[in-house]
Amino acid sequence: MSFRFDSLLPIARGLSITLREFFRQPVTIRYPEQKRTLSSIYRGAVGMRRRPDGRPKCVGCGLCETACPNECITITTESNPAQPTDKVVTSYTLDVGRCLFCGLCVEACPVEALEMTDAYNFSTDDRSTLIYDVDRLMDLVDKQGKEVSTLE
Amino acid sequence: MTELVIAVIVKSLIAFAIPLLVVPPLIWGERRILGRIQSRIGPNRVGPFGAFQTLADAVKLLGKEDMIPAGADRALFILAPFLLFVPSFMAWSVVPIGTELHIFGRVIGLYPTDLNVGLLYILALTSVSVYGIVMAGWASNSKYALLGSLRSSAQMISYEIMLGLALVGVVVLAGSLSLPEIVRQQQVPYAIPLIIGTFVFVCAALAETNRAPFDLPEAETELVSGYHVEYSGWRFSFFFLAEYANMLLASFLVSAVFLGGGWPAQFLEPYIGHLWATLLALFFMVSKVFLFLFFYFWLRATLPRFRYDQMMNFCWKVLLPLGLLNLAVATVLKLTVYA
Repeated sequence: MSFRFDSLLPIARGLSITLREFFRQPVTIRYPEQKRTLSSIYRGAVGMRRRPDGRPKCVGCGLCETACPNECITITTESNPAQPTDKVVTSYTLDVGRCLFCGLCVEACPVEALEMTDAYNFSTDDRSTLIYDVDRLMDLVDKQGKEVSTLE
Repeated sequence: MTELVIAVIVKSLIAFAIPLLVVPPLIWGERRILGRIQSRIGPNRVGPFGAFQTLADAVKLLGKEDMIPAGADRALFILAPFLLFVPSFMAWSVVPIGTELHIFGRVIGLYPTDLNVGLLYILALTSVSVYGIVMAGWASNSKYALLGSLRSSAQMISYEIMLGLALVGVVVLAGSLSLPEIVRQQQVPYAIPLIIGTFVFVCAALAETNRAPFDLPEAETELVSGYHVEYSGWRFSFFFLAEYANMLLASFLVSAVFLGGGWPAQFLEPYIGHLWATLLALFFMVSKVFLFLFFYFWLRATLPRFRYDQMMNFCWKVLLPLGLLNLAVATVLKLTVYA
């Protein structure tokens, strides 16, 4: 006979395993309602830090622009008439849609103006809204840790 | 006379409503249970706990374009889903939910009709659905559907014999082909003396309803459907509905024929009265049905699919000898214990 009745035993074992799993809590969470706690070293979108007076910390050196492999950072500057050695940052934009979260810009920055925030949800219908200006980048840093996890 | 007509109409409506009303929650329940077994949550968005998911899916299917493939045999293509769907609903006309209810000086049978060849009737109807499968495969004008229908019809024809063979043992013991009579005869559920027959019947029922581990006609993971691959929209939903109605039918049959229907509620009748005993029997019957349905889903989550030759070997080299053994056991029991 091609059928071995002792093969029913492993089937019973398999059934007991699936039954045990049935009574366990699912691993999946209901995402938008429930969120997992992020790791303390989570690397989300790049954000811009503020100076004590609230202005962006960026000095306009352009090193992050050079370091970025995807060319998603664009900085425009003009010289400061009052102090010609300084630059004034007129615009700083970062295209989150192109960013690969490598962190090279953060490492390149000589004044520690950039940091990896915990922001990860950028979904949108319009790609052009993914180009973040300096205010939204500073916003990312300000909002860090504000999204409280509903788990644990 | 009017009473009789009203009773028949009410019973027919109930017999028609059971598969129609139970199947949507059944599909949802299956998906939830499978989800939990696989550490997922399952559908939980549409309605409370996702309970309306099946309705949403049904609406989606109804809204789809009604496609008939080029070169298809239109008449057969259109007829095929009905040939599966209609018998699976017709079979409900003999399925007993309970035995008799004596109320207001009347006797109400808790079954649409007490056909004295009820079991034969069900076996005959389930045979018709094989034609639906053959026709669906042939009429689709697709080699995949044709091969799928050959595979499925071979499976269904083979396992139908085992289904009948397992039931012969019951017929020998009960001395009747009427389903309410078989339920009444069970002082002890036939699953205990006829444990072999129960095994054969459950395996054959799994194969007849194309469920795991015998779901070769569907084989979602490697083949993506067989005979109904060319069907879409509401025509596909008829195949789907028929499959689940058959599953429910198989669960009712197992509960009535092998698990004793409302057993052991009838022994409580002297203590709690006829009405309560009948209600309790209904409760036991429905619980057995749902436990068996859970078993269906549980098996699906556990067992891998048979290979085609393994499935055929299992049918002819394992179930057939076991079925004959079951018949021998039933005959011996009939001459000794059940004499």
